[in-house]
Amino acid sequence: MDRSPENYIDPVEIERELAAIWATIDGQQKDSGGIVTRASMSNVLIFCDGEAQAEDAAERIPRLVEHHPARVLVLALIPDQPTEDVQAWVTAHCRRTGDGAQLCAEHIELRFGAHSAERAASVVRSLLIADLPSALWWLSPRPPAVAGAVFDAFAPMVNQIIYDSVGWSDPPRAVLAMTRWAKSHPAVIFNLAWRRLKPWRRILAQSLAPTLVPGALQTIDRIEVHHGPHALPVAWLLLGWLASRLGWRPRQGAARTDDELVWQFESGTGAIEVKLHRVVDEPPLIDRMHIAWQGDGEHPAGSADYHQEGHHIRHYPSDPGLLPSSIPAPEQPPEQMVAAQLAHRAGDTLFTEAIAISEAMAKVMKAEGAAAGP
Amino acid sequence: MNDIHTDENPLTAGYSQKLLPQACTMVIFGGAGDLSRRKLIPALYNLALDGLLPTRFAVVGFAVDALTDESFREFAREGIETFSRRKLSEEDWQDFAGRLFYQQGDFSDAASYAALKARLEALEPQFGIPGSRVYYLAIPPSFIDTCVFGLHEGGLVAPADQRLPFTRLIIEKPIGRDLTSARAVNRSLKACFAEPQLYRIDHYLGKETVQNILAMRFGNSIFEPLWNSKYIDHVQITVAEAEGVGTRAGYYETAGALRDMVQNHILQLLSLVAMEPPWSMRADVIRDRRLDLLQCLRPIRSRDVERHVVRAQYASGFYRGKNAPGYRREERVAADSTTETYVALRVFIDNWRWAGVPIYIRTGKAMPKRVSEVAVQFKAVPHMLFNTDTEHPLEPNVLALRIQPDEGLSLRIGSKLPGPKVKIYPVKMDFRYGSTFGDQSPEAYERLLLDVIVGDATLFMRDDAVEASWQWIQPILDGWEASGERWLPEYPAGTWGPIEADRLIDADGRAWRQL
Repeated sequence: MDRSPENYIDPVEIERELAAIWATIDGQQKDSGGIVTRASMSNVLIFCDGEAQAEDAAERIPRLVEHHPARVLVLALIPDQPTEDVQAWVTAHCRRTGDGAQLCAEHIELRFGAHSAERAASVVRSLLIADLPSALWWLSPRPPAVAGAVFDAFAPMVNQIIYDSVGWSDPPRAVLAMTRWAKSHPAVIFNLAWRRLKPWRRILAQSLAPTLVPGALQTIDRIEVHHGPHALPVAWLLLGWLASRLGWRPRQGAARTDDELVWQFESGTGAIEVKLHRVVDEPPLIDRMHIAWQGDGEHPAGSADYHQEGHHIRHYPSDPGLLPSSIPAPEQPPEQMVAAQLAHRAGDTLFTEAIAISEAMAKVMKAEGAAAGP
Repeated sequence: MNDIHTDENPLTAGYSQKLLPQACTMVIFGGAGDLSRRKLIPALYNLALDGLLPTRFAVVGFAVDALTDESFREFAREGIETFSRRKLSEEDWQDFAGRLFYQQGDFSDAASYAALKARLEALEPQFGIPGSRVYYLAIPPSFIDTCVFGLHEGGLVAPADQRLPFTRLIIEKPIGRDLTSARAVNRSLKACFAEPQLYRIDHYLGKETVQNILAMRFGNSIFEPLWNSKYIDHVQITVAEAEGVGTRAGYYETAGALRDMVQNHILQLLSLVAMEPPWSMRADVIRDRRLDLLQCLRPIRSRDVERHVVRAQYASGFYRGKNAPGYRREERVAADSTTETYVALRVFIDNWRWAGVPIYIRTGKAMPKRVSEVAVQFKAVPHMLFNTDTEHPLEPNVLALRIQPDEGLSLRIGSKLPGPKVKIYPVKMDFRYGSTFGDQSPEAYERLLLDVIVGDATLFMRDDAVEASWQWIQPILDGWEASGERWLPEYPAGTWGPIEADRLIDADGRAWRQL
């Protein structure tokens, strides 16, 4: 794709340029007797910081529209762009379907400078396809709610905001900012980290089921999570989910070292100590987890270990009579997760409850004045 | 604080039942057979890839063949490599293979059931499975009784009123070959299992588009107000198969198109298309509505069979330019066979909604292409403003639900041709699942096996529905029997059926759709 400046067009020409592209594709197909379908299930806005990220986003679009055909608008903030004008560039992504027809989705890119967010937003407003839901995929590593004017310009146009907390540099501040923003805005927010946690949530739910290890959930007293660099927000969210499901409340939290965070939770049956360790030289994932429970008069103490091994999460029970179990945890590219998420436009109560506890965890951490690294 | 009761799992709260199924073992009777290799094991493998199987799950193949665990795994691997919609990955296979086991046994030998029980009781604690089991009878119908009583007498059936461990039984069609034998099968099943434990499978109901019939009808407000005799002229249901009987000739000779297709797949399809709105998506509510519909089918009395039903056999012809043999020339088919390979019917539903609307059904083998669809043709506009010349009449609207291939739906509407004259031309709005959603849809068996594991019987047939459909079919079978015909009408292989079927619909001033 040639995005050299001579190929940029004036934003007012976008629809005309798209029409010309369709006419060309139609013409080519008619010559071969084929059919062209323009499919759109949503308007998808992708916000990128800088040229390199915009190019990365562009490479992901064909896979995104294969799963979720959409009009895609890449919104690239170029801080040193010399002009205040918004620059545009358009293309279409076509793929052949089983019967030989061409299925196409539109791809529009906008480049704008640091002070042109509102100008860019005015272009976006004119390009949204009516009667379709709109989503903002926040590809930038900056948490959306702390990004300021640029987020405020695009967020009101969409029904759903999809972001990824992996890599956030200051998770407590970012978690607080996102939850506060969500409380005062109607758009549904969704963190891709939540989708990455799906296999973890499933294997925990099944391996700790009262039918398998009675008494375990009520008497958990210790959890340790080891995570790779940049995966602290993922581990944080997993704890938020566990705590919200089991009725735990965070009482205090501290950063013991640069690589270790500790929380004390309280449940109806006692205290729970939770440690998060950062492991260098690991991918940005939860690497392993240990859960221990003390048992009660009726049920014995025990523990369970979980390891991410290849594309599976394996559960190693402490009971020697039980075989390990596993669940697939394939690495999904973000565009595939976004495509899957776009189909779920309603808010997810479990996620909302999990981030509420995550927020409480951030608050007790702040109270101790500790800073947490990624 | 969430109260945690002894067997309630707060970690599963808020999840769809389908995402967190209960630990169980699936025992496949006939585990070394064709259905197991082509459909069941690949379906389970794909469910495992999607993380939809319980993490504590095992599969035990049970059959007379002399296999070991290891050779059963090889058999399963070959089935996945050949028939799975997704490629086998070594890492996933290792995980899946560790859950596969085999138990050799004779279905009619009590000792085999005792050995199966001992094997399950040895395996299940290792997997943390509390004794919940799904038995899949992938066996010829003649073995159903034997296996059902074998399981019961072998102490392999949990009480129905117990939540855990559970026992569920999956039975393949055909359930009987007439009303009497279907009732006998149901009696045997119910002597050993309670109805909620029984899952009579019809893989047609697992197809995405079939399920989409309910979504389309009851998830959109524009169709249902038109879904009645005031606006619908007629409905056509076509289930055409391109191939002849091939290797299924032995079975097909004893069945024929009416038993093989109409009694189960097509009547189930019809019930979804025509049933009244359910008040909830609960399994029994949906199944009650489907049963209501079957009970509203106007009986075709034996003496009226010729007026409403056409049966035929394919003769030699051409399929895509190649010679295709006639049915009576197929291997394992009697030279004087009167088994029908094609059937067309005119059906009426005697209720308020469908009064007077004919439903035309046709199904056959050796037809020009494989296609299954339900087409709803709406009535013409009440007053012709356009295309008043008789040469180019205004074509009625048609909503076609395609079940296979290219699952989707299309709507034919009239649109003005560009130009100074007002000329209406039919255009088709087409929605294709594959094109729009991209992802490969799961196979019907994946959906249905998962439904059984989670205990959702919505897409399975209840005993009363099976008997209601046989009750409606039986007079047709009786009429044919009484006719004593030795020759059936014929249609050349590779064509859309006999001239008699054209006359059936032509007599009403209508025509079969060109597909």
